[in-house]
Amino acid sequence: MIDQQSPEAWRERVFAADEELLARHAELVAIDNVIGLEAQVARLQHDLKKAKERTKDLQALVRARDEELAAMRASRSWRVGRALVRPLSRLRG
Amino acid sequence: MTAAPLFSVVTPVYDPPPAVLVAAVESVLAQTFRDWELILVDDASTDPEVRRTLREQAARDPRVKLVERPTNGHIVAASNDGVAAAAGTFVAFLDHDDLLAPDALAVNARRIAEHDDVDYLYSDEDRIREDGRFADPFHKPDWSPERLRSQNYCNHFSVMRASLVREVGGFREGFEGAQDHDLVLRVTEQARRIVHIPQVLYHWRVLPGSVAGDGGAKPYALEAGRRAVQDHLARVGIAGTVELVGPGRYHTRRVLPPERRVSVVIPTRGSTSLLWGRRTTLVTRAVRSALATTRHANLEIVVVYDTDTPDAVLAELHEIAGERLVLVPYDEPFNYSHKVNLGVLASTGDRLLILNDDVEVRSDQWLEELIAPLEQPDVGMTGARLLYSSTAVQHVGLAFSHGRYVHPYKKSPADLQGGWGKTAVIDREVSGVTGACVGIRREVYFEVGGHTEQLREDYNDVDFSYKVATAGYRILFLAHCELFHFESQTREAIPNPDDTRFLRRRWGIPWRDRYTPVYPNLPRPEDRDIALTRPRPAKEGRS
Repeated sequence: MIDQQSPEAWRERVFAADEELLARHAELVAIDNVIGLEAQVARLQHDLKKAKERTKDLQALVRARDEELAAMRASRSWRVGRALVRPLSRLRG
Repeated sequence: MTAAPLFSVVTPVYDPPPAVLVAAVESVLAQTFRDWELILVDDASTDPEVRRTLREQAARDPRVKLVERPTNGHIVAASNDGVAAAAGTFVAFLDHDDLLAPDALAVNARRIAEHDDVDYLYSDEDRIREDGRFADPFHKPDWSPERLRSQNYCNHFSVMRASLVREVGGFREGFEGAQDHDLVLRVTEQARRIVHIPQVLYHWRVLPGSVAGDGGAKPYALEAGRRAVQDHLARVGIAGTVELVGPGRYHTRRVLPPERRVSVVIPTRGSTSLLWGRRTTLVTRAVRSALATTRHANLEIVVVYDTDTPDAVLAELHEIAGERLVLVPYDEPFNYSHKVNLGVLASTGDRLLILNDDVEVRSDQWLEELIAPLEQPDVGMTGARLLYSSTAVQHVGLAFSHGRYVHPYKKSPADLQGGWGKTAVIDREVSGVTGACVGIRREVYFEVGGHTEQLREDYNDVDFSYKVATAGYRILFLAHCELFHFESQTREAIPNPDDTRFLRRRWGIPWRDRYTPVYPNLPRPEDRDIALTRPRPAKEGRS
């Protein structure tokens, strides 16, 4: 039969007797947390950059559509058409 | 004076069927990129029809040059004559019976334009069957040096900076049949930047007796390939010997220095299971097999056991491992990562081997296989080939792809090789390895903060792999280190959604795996000859 130690006794021998080991476990957990947070920040920065690029593209698209609309409204056919249908708008009440 | 072309396509020619030679030349003439030259090197073909065809082809376009050797010198001499005649900045190699995709040079030119320091580019390839159809696409991994030692996966389409090819001395006499593998090894050792283009740009023709049709068609090439890899080991300073393990497949058996202290860390609760009809204590079986199959003496077995583990199990462990046993009691709620971290903290080895208790080692010198590659400073972690008790494949490396973390070839028969690339049976880089059997250097373990204790059960190995890879280390799957993993084959583990969310929050959603490419939009193997453009049938029941 081997001399099985209780967890408390083991900790006393391995950890309590050597504070450095306890500190190393805490260090291990802290490093993991830092790496995890750094990875998360890097990913979020990447996502933000992509979102900004997408926003820029969409804003350019909206501007182009606005310009198209303005050009269309300035056209003769639009003005003639609008003049033709204006009396009908009175019917809508 | 005209500027030098960007690409010199070198084609050694020796008695091919004239029709396929013409097709090869036409595939170059049809390139969408115009800045090239084609150098046809006739290695003293005996067929007058071939000689006449070559002269006709050379007359078709001023960019086609013909070099006629007076005597047959074999592939190495002919290829070197082609390189000597090349005026291009990059040389590319096209066999006399193969085809380039129309945009092969254009795509390469685009990638070269992105970086000034590109020295070597390779791309995906497929085969031309005897009926002329393209089939069996080989989707290659990104740069994978371990895989290149195991097989010449880069060829074809190889594009190399011409100055570097000349600097390394071109093709070497004495390596006929594996001269391309030898050259790729020597060029990549010196290359400043290596680029993989994940596109099929080369079509390899299957002819009776060709390497494309039968890997064993040129037996002399296999020994030349083995010597090429052995020479490479000497040049890059890897202590080991190269073995031929199959047609075009090599295994590097590395040397584990005897002074390396290895700590085998095994978390357990001392449970038993029914294995092949007999109730067995898992951890004692694992430790017994682990010790019986290694010759490495400088090791310790660190068992992290739940405090309800039966005394008899601990006694048996002591009997098996003797003075090499270190017992670490654990009395907290189950947390695999915490258990492993505690075991590592209690260990003294400069190399760690983390092992599940439900394994049994199958291969001899498994520990040496798994730990010796860690002598290379850029190798951070290694993993083994794991089989279910039924001998079906359980693990040949992890792939992070299309939002999932998968075990490629899981539940496939043990003799499955993994297609053209033999992905399931060769040593190679992978994105991750399962936590059931992991080799790692002690300093790397601490550098990446060990296993995250926020993942108690699932995916701690995926997170750990991400951390090791993000720290800049290579992760290797070692096909010749084989264990049984007595995980249930029929009960599918359902990961905790919180764990999946945790992983994605840290690392994002994976899409394309670098080392085990999966393309779900490609036809399944059984459908691969069906045209990709086949129209889909209209859905029924909708107006």
